[in-house]
Amino acid sequence: MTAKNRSNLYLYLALVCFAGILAIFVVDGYLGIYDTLYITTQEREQIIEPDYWQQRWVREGYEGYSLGARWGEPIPFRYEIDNRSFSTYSVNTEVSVWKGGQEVVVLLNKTEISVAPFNRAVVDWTLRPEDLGDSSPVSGEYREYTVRIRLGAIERKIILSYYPEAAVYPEKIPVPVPVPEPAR
Amino acid sequence: MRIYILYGFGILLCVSGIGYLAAEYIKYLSEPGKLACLALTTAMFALFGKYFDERGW
Repeated sequence: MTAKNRSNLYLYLALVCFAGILAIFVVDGYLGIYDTLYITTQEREQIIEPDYWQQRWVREGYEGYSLGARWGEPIPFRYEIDNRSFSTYSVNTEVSVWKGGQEVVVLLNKTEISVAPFNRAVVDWTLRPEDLGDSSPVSGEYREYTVRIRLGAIERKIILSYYPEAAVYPEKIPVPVPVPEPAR
Repeated sequence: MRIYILYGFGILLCVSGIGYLAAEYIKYLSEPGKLACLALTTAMFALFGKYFDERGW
């Protein structure tokens, strides 16, 4: 092998290494366990993509995804788990509602989910206000609950802010207007 | 002389840009992926070194 051919071989091998790095970025970025949450409140479906939980400000202490809901409406949750790996993903899922550090209700109790390689699984549940065992908030009051979704070592937190079913405005009392006395 | 300063500045910007992007991307990689990337980067720089060495730089 001539010196020129050998130097070219080194260059090609270096380019192959570079292509390998790019391939790892693409393939490793695709592989893994991805969870997407769909929540419908007030007739609007909100999709929480897996990227949301990867953001630095979320990972560094910000407590979950905030969501507003009207008291009285059932809130359907759809949790989709996408297994992009070569082995079956089996995990226990637990969903509970918390308030002030106290567990209020368990919506899913250690349900085992098994997802085949390169397949998806969907878990559904509905949160109803009667599950919370609380009365409707009064006008101007916001009541907050934390929905904790545990998927093995992964934990997702949703902060639900409930506001009253119907806005009740305080009754207006007219200010008495002094009636001038008739002139004599 | 001035042109070399500009070259140096350009190279510095390129290297810092690539370093920043790599640091951002690497956050989303798994541990084996990070290790493989490190090995490939080392091999790439070594092969580039050999290439320039062979060319008499």
